[in-house]
Amino acid sequence: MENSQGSISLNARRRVTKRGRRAVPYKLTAPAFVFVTLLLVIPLLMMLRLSLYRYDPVQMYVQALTFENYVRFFRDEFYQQVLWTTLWISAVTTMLCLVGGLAVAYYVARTRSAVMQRYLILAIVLPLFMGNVARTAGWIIILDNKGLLNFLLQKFDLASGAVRLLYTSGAVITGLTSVLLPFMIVTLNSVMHNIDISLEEASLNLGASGLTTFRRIVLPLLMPGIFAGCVLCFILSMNAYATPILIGGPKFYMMAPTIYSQMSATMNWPFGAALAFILISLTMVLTVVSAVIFNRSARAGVVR
Amino acid sequence: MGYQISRRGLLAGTIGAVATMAATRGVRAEGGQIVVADWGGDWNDRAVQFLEAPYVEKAGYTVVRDLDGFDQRRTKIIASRRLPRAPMDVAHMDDATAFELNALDALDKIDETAVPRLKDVIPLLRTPTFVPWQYSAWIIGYNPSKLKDGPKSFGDLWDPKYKGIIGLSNEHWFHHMECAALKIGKSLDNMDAEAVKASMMEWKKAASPRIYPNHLQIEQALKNEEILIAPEYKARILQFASDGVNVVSSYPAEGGITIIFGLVMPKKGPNPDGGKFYCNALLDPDGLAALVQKSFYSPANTKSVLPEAAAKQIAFTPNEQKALHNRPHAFWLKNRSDLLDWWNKEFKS
Repeated sequence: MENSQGSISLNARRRVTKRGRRAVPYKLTAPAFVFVTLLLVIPLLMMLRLSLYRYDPVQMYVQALTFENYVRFFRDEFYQQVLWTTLWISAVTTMLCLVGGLAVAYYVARTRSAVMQRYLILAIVLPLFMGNVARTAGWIIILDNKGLLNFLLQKFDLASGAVRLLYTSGAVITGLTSVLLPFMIVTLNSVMHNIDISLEEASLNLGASGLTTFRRIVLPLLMPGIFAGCVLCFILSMNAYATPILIGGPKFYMMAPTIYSQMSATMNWPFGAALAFILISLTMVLTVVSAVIFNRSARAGVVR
Repeated sequence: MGYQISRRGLLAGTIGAVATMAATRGVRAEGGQIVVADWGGDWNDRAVQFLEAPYVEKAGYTVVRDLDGFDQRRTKIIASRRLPRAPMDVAHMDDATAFELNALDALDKIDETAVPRLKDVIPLLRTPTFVPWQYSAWIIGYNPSKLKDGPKSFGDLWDPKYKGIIGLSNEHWFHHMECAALKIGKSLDNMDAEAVKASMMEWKKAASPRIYPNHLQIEQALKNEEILIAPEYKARILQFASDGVNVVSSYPAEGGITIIFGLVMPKKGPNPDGGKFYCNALLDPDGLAALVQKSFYSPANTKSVLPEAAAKQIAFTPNEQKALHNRPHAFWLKNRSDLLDWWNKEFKS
C-alpha cells in the first residue's frame, strides 16, 4: 500500500518536473516576449491604425477607417518612383558590399597570424563606433564641388571645371556602401572562419585553380553567410535615412526620408504611417521570398 | 538575531521610496530646472552666451537643452498633447509655427503678469501665445562684384538673364512661394495656390534656380560663386557677409516678408513658472542688444538699444518697415501639406 502510494506520488512528481522542464523555454523567453510586444508590436499596431485615419490640415488627422492613404500611394507615380529608387539603390549597394566584402573577408579569415587577424577585424569594426552621420559627412568633404576628388580631377587635367559629384545617386550609393560594408565583412568573415582550409588544399592538390576552388568549394559553403550579409545590408539600405539626406541632396528621394518628411514637415501622419507600412511590408516580403528561394536552392543542391 | 523583512514591509518600503522619489522630482522641477528646445548650433551658442548663462542660470535655474531641428520640435509638442506632461517648458519657434500650434490648442497663454517685459515688445509682433524675440525679413542677397545690375525686386528673379545663378533653400520652400505671390499680386493677403504654382513653374522655366538643402549650403554656394543670387533673410545675408562671403542685400520693391522668431510654452510643461522666468529673462534689453549684434536680427524688445552703426546695419528704414508683409498663417495652415507635396513632386523634379 505504502509502496503503491509512493510510486504514484513519484510519477506525479515526474510529471510535474517534466511539465516544469517544458515551461522553461517559455519562462526564459517571457521577458523578451513582453519587451518586444510592448516596444515593437503595440507601436506597430498603433501606426497601422494611424495609417487608416483621414488627414486633416488643421487637426492633423481625424479618426476614420479608410484605405485612402494606401490608394494615394498606388495612384501617385511620384511615390512609386521613390520606392523604386529605394529598391534599386539598395540592390546596387548590397551587390557592391558583397563584391567588396568577399575579398576582404576571405583575406582576413585566411590570415595566419591570430594577432593580425584580430587587428584586421578591429580595423573593419572601428568605423561602426562612429555614427553614420560622421562617416557620411566625410564624403561631403570628398565629393563637394570644391572637395578633394574634384581637386584631384582638375589637378591631373581629368576635368576642366567642377564635376557635380555630391547630390547624385552615385554619391548615395558610395556613401551607403561605405557605411554598410563592415556589416557584410563581419557576417562573411564569421562563416568563412568555419570553412575548413583543408577542403581548399584538397581541391588545389587535385589540380583545380585558385579561382575554381573559390567558385566550387568556398562559395557554396559561404552561401549562408552571403545570404545573411545581403539581407542585412539590403534591409539597412532600404531604411537608410542620414546618407540620402546628407549626400543625396534636396532632389533625391528615398523612402525613409520621405516618410520622415510626411511625418514632421508636411505633418500628414496618416500618409506617413501608410508609407512606413508599405516599406516594412515590401522589405519583409522580399526577405521572406529570398529566404524561400535560398532554402529551395540549398535543398536542390544548387547551394551546398 | 537576524532582521527579517516581511513581504508587506518590503512592499510598503518600495511604495514609500517611489513616492519620495516622485515627490522630490516634482519639487526639483518646480525649483529650478527649465527644459528649453532650440535649433542648437550658433543659435543656441548665442542664446547661452548672452542671455541664458548671465540671466537664467545665474539666477539659480538649471537649463536643460533639447537641441534638435525645427520640425522635430514641433512634432514633439504635437505628439505630446495627449500625454500628462509636455517634453519641454519653452521652445524657440517662428511665428507661423506658433500660429499652427495655437490652432491645435497646444500652447499656454503668456501675458504681462507672467512675463513683465512683454509690455516693451513691439505690439504688432505679439500674439497671446507667442513671445517675440528677434525678427528680420526675407529679401534678396547677391554678389556685387559679379553682378553690377543686381535684382531689385522678387519679380526680377524671374528674368532669364539670371538663369542658373539663383540658389533657393529647400528648407524655406514656403518663402519662395510667397515671393511668387508677391510678384503676382503685390500682397500676401489673398494667396491663390494655383496662381502661385503656375508662377513657380514659369520661374523654373525662365531662370532654372538651383536648390540647396538650407542656409549653410546656400552660404557655401555663394562663397564658391556657384550661385550669385539667393533670396534669404536679411540677418542671414549679413551673417554670410561677416563670414567673408561677397554678398550684399537688396530690399525688394514688393516689400520684404517678415519672419519673427520667439518663444512658446507648450501646455503641461514640467516647470511653467520656470518657463515664464526664462521668457522674461530672454527679453533682457541689454543681453538681447548684445545678442542681435552677432545674429543680425532686429530685437523685438523696444528697450534694447544698439550702437548706431549696428542699428543702421541691422534695422529696416521706415519705408522698408512700412512695406513689410506679414506671412499668411491661415493660408499655410490650410495649404501647407498640398503645396509642400507639389514643391517636392513638381517644382523640384
